[in-house]
Amino acid sequence: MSRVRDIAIIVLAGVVLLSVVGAVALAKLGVSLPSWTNVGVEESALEGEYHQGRPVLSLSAVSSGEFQQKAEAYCADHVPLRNQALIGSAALQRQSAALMAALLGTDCYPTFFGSEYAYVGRADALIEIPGKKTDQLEKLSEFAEGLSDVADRYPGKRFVVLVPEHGPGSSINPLVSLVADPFASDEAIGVLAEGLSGHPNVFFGTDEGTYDTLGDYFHCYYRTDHHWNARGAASVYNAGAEKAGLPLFDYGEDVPVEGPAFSGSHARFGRDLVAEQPFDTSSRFSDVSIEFDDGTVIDGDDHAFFDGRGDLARYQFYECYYTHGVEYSGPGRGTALLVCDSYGYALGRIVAKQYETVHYREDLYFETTEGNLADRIEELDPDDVIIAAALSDYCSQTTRIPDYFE
Amino acid sequence: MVFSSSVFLFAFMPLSLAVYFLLPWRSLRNVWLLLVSLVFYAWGEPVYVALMVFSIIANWGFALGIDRCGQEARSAGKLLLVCAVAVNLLLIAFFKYEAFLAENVNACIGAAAVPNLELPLPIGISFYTLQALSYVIDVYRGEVHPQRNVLYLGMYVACFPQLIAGPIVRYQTIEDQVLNRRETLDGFACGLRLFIVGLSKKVLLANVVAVLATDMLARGGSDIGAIGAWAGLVAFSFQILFDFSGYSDMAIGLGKMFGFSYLRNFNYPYLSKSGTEFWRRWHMSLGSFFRDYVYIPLGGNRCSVPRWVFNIFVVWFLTGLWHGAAWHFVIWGLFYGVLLVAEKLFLLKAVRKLPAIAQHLYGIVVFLFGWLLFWAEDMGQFTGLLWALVGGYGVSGASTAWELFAWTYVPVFLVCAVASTPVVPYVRSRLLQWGTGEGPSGPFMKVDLPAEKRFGTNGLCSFDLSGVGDPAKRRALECVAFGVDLALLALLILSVASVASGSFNPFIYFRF
Repeated sequence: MSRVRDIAIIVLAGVVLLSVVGAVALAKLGVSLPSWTNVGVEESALEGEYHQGRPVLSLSAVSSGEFQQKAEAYCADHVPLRNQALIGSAALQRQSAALMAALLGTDCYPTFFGSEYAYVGRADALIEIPGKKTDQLEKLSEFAEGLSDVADRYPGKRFVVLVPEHGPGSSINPLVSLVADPFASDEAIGVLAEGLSGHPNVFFGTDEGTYDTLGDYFHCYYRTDHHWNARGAASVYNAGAEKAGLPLFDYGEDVPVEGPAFSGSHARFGRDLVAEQPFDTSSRFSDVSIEFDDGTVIDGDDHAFFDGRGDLARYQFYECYYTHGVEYSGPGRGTALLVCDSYGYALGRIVAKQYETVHYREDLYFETTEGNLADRIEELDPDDVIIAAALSDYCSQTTRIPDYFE
Repeated sequence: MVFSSSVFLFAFMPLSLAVYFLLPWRSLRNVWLLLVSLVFYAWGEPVYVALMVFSIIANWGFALGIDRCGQEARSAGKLLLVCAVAVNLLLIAFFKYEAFLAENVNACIGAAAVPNLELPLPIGISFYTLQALSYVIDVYRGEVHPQRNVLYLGMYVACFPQLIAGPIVRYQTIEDQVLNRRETLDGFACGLRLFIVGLSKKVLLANVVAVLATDMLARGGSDIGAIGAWAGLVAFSFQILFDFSGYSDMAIGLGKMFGFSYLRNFNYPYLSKSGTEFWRRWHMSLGSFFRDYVYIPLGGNRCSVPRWVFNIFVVWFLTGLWHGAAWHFVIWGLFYGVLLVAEKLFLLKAVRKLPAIAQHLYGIVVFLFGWLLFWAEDMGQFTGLLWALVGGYGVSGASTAWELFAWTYVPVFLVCAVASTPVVPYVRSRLLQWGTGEGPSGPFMKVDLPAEKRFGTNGLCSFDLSGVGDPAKRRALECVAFGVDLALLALLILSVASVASGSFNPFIYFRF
């Protein structure tokens, strides 16, 4: 009997340890298996990365350590059921935290050991754990000062700055009170607003302090992602537009989006697949057209990147659904320059609805080398400059592109 | 390459084992083992393979020379031994301690007289140098025959299971096994089970508590307060135990799969009731090396008290320095030197009068303080953490207790605490007693200090039911054994999942 046991454990452990060799062989043989097996799959929507390609053996690659590094990543990336391994490992660790949280009477606990995200039970949400206050306030002052200078140089143009409350330091975030000396959104937004005040052509729109409950808050922001939804984008846009005298956007009502439930970046990086059914505005955008940098043009109701993208639609709904191009045409009048980070995805078509032309530039995320804000204004000559980004990207802008406001 | 890496688990290990068992002759298997060991070593340090090859050839030549001198030319043999020891020590001194030496000499004389070459440390040099030294010294002492085949000696020195983190396998342990070992199904399965246990210790326990240990201790005492300091220190204590003993288990298990029988390296050290006992249970292959090759040749304890104290301090100075080229390791070693002298002279007598639980507490305080010295790289870190431990920075320092997240690890600490006791062998022995109808063997916590003959590892991860006569009991115990194997497979899957997910996987032997 012990012989049978010995053979059984050797065979079964062998299957586990030879799984990568087997998976690579199956893929090589062209055997088609479902994507969840991770056999023959070249990218991971969960991790938002491409799998490591087969490393090329050469003397220089070995001596530099590049081959070893790539081989390590290749093996790890091609483990069958890799996504399940990632989620399962985290879930096991989360049980420890959840058990202790229950014993201590809190419903907020990290999603795994060392995670930057916490699960908040009362809202069934995943929230980034607030970071400590460092030099963010100085950075925001720098941003405000730089933008004010540019605005002063173009007194005939309106500058509308849209700042969402969403972020780890939001005052509605229950984690804020659990952390000592956090970087708090309300204080930061106050610094930015104050820095931009006193300039007649600069208008400031935010939803900070407008939410009474977490339920209200997560009606405008995703519970599992770091972005606003269409309602949140419309709400902050209208707050700024009202002050600037721009036309307001009529959100209408929520309309569920058909497709897989959404597990956003907080769920993916927190390895806790809390899911939510996304919704969109009932307003239609067939009068808006979006042009991409390859010249393709679609209308504003088209969600070409969302439809039929399987795992991508589940994990990256926000990026796939809210199509964003480089030029928008709409039914309104005038021209706008929308300077943003990925918060611009949900905002683009809302802004486009109010203008004839909207130039979309993601300068608050990418380290562009195409010039600074003044160059953009000179080149595109917009009537209005609309700026929208997460608070963290406002903080890092003058570090990312030091001469952006020159 | 490390055992807890994807390449090792999914490619290197299966491939090296598969080819090994396909080869028909012992000589080919030995050469294959040497080849894969060199590849294993070259994976992390391509250039330093040359250093290892040099070490193998040099020690092979020295040992043959010493043997040829024999009893007739003893002084020539002694000279060769001195040369061998000098070459080995110079190699390790140059590659491991050059920067340390340069730093300290230059600081003393206030000038950059010795260049700091900042050489990367050849991984495992501390282990394979001691193995090579033990080989040539044992040849000189006539305790082993010299290995005439340089490839076989190379296989011994470079053998990948114990290459980079021990245990320190003396040649006399495997001399006979080089040509006469037997690979068996039972031995392979036993080795595989031990490997899985070791991998689980490393990946599921050590790596997990390492997240907390690294986070807490690196932040400094004022930031984390008493909760963070205690949690960090306890986490580090578990990390280093399960990391090191897990790696030893994996090495011993892999050795078994290849037919080797290495000696045990850890024996539940955290059950110790004194510093003396701790070092009889912790890293036993290192302790016995320093005892046999340094302490006893210096005169051991069969000399005057001052000389004995000197011998002790030499051994513990070297033990500390062996762990890393930094003063905090030396201080850590000397701390144990002072403690062991004090225990031998008077302290242990007083401790043994205490109740058993208090003796265990004393043992715990000793090794926790030791790990604090071991971890803290400078006086500032040490005093900051010590002050935090005694509550000088309040309960949680500048942080809130919630954000330290030490509370989330409490269940893990409980698992670690249980896993650091002999609960598995105890349950196993009780089950076998039930099966064979023999009387109880002794209380749970009374795990005897291992004598040399008990360093063997054949009893680890095996469940021998040959003595169980009653068929019903035998069937029941077979079911238990199947259940244990299923649990081990589950642990393997969890460990592999953790490795594949790229979880925090620190490698603490780089400094050794």
